[in-house]
Amino acid sequence: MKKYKLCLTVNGIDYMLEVNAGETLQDVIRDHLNLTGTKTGCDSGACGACTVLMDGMAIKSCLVLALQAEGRKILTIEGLAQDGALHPLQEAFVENWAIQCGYCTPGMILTSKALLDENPNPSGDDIRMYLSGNFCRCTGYQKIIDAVSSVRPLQGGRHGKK
Amino acid sequence: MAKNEIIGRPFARVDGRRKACGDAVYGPDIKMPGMLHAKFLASPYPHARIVHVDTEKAEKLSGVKTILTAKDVPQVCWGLMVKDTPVLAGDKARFMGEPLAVVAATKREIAEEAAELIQVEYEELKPVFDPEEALGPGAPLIHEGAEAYACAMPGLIRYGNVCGQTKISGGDPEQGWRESDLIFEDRFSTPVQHHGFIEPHAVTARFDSNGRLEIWTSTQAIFAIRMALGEIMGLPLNRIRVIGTEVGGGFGGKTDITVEHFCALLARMTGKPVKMQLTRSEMMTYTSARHGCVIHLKTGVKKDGKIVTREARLLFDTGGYAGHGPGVAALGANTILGPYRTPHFKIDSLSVYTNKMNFSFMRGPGGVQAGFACESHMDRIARELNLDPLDFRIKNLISDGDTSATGQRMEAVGIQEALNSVAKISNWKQRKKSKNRGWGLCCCQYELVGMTSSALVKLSEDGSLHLVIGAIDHGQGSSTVLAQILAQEMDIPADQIAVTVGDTDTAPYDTGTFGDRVTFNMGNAVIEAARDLKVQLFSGAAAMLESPAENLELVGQMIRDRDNPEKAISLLELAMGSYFFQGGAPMGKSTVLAPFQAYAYEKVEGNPYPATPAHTYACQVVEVSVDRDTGMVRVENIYSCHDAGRMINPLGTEGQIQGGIMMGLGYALWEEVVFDGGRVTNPNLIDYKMPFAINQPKIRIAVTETKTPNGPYGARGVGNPPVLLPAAAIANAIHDAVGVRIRELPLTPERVLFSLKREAANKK
Amino acid sequence: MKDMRYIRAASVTEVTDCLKKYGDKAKILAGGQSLVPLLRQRLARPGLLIDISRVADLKFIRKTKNTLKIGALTTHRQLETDPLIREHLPILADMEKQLASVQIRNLGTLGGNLCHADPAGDVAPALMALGAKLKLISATGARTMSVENFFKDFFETAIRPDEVLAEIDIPLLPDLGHAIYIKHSSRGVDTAIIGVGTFILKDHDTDTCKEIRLCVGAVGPVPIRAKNAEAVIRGKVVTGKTIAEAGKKAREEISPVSDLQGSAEYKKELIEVFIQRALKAASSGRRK
Ligand SMILES: Cc1cc2nc3c(=O)[nH]c(=O)nc-3n(C[C@H](O)[C@H](O)[C@H](O)COP(=O)(O)OP(=O)(O)OC[C@H]3O[C@@H](n4cnc5c(N)ncnc54)[C@H](O)[C@@H]3O)c2cc1C
Ligand code: FES
Ligand code: FES
Repeated sequence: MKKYKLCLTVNGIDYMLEVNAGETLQDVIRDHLNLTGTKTGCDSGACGACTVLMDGMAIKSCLVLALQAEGRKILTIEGLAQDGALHPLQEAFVENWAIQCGYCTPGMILTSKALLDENPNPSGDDIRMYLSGNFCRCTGYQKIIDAVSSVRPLQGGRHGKK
Repeated sequence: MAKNEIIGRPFARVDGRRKACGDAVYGPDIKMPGMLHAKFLASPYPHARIVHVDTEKAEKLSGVKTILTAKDVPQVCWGLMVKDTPVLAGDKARFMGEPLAVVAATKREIAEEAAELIQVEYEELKPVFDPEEALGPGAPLIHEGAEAYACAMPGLIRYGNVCGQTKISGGDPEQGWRESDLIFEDRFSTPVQHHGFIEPHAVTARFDSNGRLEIWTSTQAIFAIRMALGEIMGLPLNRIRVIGTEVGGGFGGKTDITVEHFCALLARMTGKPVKMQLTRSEMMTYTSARHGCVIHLKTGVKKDGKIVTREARLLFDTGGYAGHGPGVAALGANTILGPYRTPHFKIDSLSVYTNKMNFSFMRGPGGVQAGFACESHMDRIARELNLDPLDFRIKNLISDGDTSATGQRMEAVGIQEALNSVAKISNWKQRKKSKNRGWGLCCCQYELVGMTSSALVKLSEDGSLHLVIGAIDHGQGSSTVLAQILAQEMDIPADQIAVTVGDTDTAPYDTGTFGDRVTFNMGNAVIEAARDLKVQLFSGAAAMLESPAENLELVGQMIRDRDNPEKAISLLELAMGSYFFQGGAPMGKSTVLAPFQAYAYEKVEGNPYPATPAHTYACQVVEVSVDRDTGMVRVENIYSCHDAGRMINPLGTEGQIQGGIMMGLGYALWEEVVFDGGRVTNPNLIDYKMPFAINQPKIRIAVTETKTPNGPYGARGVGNPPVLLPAAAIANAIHDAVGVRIRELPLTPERVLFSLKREAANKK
Repeated sequence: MKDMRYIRAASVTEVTDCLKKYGDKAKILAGGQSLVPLLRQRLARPGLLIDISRVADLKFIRKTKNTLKIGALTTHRQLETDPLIREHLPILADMEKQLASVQIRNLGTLGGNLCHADPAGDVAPALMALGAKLKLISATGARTMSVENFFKDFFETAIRPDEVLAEIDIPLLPDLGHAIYIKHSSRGVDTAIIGVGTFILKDHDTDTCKEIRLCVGAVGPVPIRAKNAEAVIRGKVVTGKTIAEAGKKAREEISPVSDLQGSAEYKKELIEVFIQRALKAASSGRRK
């Protein structure tokens, strides 16, 4: 099977890989790079568990071919904490019990990050709308909304700006 | 016992950080060198004789390592209640999606391609999809020779397409009908609900050179998986090690074997590790889901609103194999009277084979279906008697000292207080009625599961504590709650306790994570183990301190003499002393089987389960608005009250309730695995509609604490009732808003609109 | 197993040359939001993927004197947030807010949405109402066609295997012209059970309707215009009575097809309701 060269940056590290045309970005992240924090849940773009940031934008990595990510900067959940310090969103999810089984959590946190980067002061409904490509079957969402809301005033505050 | 400062406090989850950072390892994340990937071939027919299977072409595909069909696998039938399930369908396929062959190949795509290349000759048989039809004369038999199947549970009633039946009766129903002023009859039907956990089933198995099987699986019940594997593989249980991965949601759908046996058989055959991960479509056509159910209810009441008698018949569409069906039917039977005093009753609940996938446990099994029917029916009776739905319920509520339908003396009945509390927070008595808006009410009494839990608490050399258990935390937060309980018992900060959920080799036995049982049973086991450890510590300390052991207490990680507090020794010193000079490694252990009052078997027939050690209670008020032109229902407000017995962690309790309510909301409004004959038409998460964040209504929660005598600190489970409530509460609110009673779920805009139109036509 | 090849095109010419050479063995890949799941589930198995996502010439939103020109690679999210769109064609920004989820809107393109031709797609009825035209380019030249003529059947369009959709050309709304898109879906973020795009232009002096387009999506293989309903409104003052009549006419003239979102019978009811709602909203609305 023909292999193609792929260069991309994941969590600040540059990679050069060989992939098949049919492989997705999710395959690259999970299988080639072993970054299994990016989850897989539905194989149809429905669940949001595979969400990562590509050049800062939230995308579903199961809906993107690896080769489409050529030259892009990818951020996965493993790249969010800096020097052992959790990102304020990660802290907020832990503190607010916004995590139960945790399977939706990486996708939820990264989608929330994209939201806060765009709009540092979203309303509860803004958060609900923005997160409505991500299923959570455990929490009923309220504690996730609470967690994201709690991060707002802290932007640039206690946890420093991200 | 020490000050109550740990129980009831909002501790952060012990597993929070690893889940927030992405390093928690779930089923699909397991990977091994040289691992093969497996795929099964599914039957394309709901009921067909398998005439011939030809794997030759598929085997030639490069990368294919082995293909197993029915003739290559152990000729055993397994099953949780009825031993009716072959490893692979051999003589016939009983549902569309049933595995006939499994392939292991070097790559997933190759395994997929190979499965497509297997050629099978079928002879279609007449299928039956409807449980009512399956009971009829001349219905095709789904299991010929079912009489010969062994049963894992005693006393099952089985015949024809019935794989289980529970009958409960009490009083004298005939007399009841005579005494009734009014009689109401309804028929309800409920859809198949998909568990909808986001993590797909994923299993990896390998055999070592000693012939020992190791298997990694995302499961709620490692020991149950081990037992089934032992039976299928013909291995003693001590040759099987089941390692539970982190579980990305279970809700009852990961309590049984799904593909563990396929991986194990392929691994034995190939000598390589084998992994199988299901696609969503396979999950929705092969693994279990919530039973669809048809429920007939007939109730006689006095004019003043006192319930006199009830007759109930429940038909659980169980699919091609029994699974937990007979037990689910029993739970439905036990729930159908609700928390109401009913002097005379006759309940008949059947688990019926049809040509669909095997439905099994899902959060609130049996109760969710029965709850919708019972509480919709109650609402109708209240309306037609011109009684306020709340007053009608209060008039009939059971209370402490009453006897349940199955003969137990009821205690710690929490429903009264919960109902008062929900009436208060929803302002029920002053509720405002406006056009096309309405209010609905719903109560729930359900059961939790007892059975065996055991725990091990180890004091390490440095005095720190380690709790080792075999109960999986599949998200509900049990590991955190159990750490709190141990911390409370040992008077130690909760974050200094480490909890290890072990595997079947390393952990003491637990029955599994389901039925609201872990906090309850394992909570008790942890308390017992802590007390066992304290006995050991006190006896060691008694010698060192020269104080009688009865005089000692454990406070702030110090053991001291109550009468003479300067006689004290720290846990660290005690541990050191114990490890090196005296007694060895202190280890508290326990095993508990929750006490329960047995069924009054003169009233109960065919129920395969032991009776519950405790009931659970909750109630809910919902306000909706209905768009009469489109049938669209908007849930404006939910007020929900839940009795926790004793809340161990308020955040965890709330999280369980909020999540359960949303799952119940999905069941009420959108969720249905749609069948066209035997084919699922929406086997994906786009067309199967679970709620998103924007679908979340305003939810207000209250928790009451009616202490349960058997529970740890009085706690009982809170996980199941939230799912039972929304369907009936919403259906009742729709009736209040626009005057139509809908007896079929889900309450889609389409169903609501056509009900409105039918109602309008009837009025004319 | 069949091998799939991949080319990352840098220019429109490279795309059309490739298409000419490989014909229907090749498949264009834009955002991938519809195509990747099909590849994954082996429902599409092209021999060659032509990735057009880096073709800069297909990414633009430009205003000319009378039209807005939008490159086929413009993403849903760009359409939702672009100031030119918000100012001149707010209908499109509104439509986009209700389309899929933010992750999908970030990558999914207008061209991909149209060429995928999902009968329940939201873009087509909105663009049809606006009277948009599509520019298709092949190695041998370019042609334009109205959006209305573009759709042929379930997931089938008039595009030839050698063509790429390059541009969408939308006439600016005249003064007093008003366009809206309304959608009915069960959870608010779903595929439409019905979607109605409406354009209405009223006469300044008489308040009668000069021009009208009522475009209904998710009711059959392709989005369609409710022409008899339009005829009820055209030339008349829009009143409660004409709106009710138009609703009835639309219901009569369209025979919806059942799908997973709703039965034909239900859609039939909705056609009447939503034509009326659309007319009410569009005829009372301000231009912006
Ligand atoms: C979960 C989910 C929910 C969705 N919900 C909605 C919804 O509510 N409403 C809605 O309208 N849509 C919805 N969509 C569809 C989505 O909008 C489209 O998939 C997307 O816009 C397609 O664009 P793309 O660029 O990703 O196309 P691709 O996936 O890259 O391509 C789609 C098709 O178009 C062809 N193609 C693409 N660009 C061109 C071109 N320029 N010229 C010729 N052919 C081309 C491709 O060959 C392919 O056949 C949903 C999709 C998903 C996965
Ligand atoms: S795995 Fe990508 S959206 Fe579900
Ligand atoms: S925490 Fe389990 S899916 Fe969100």
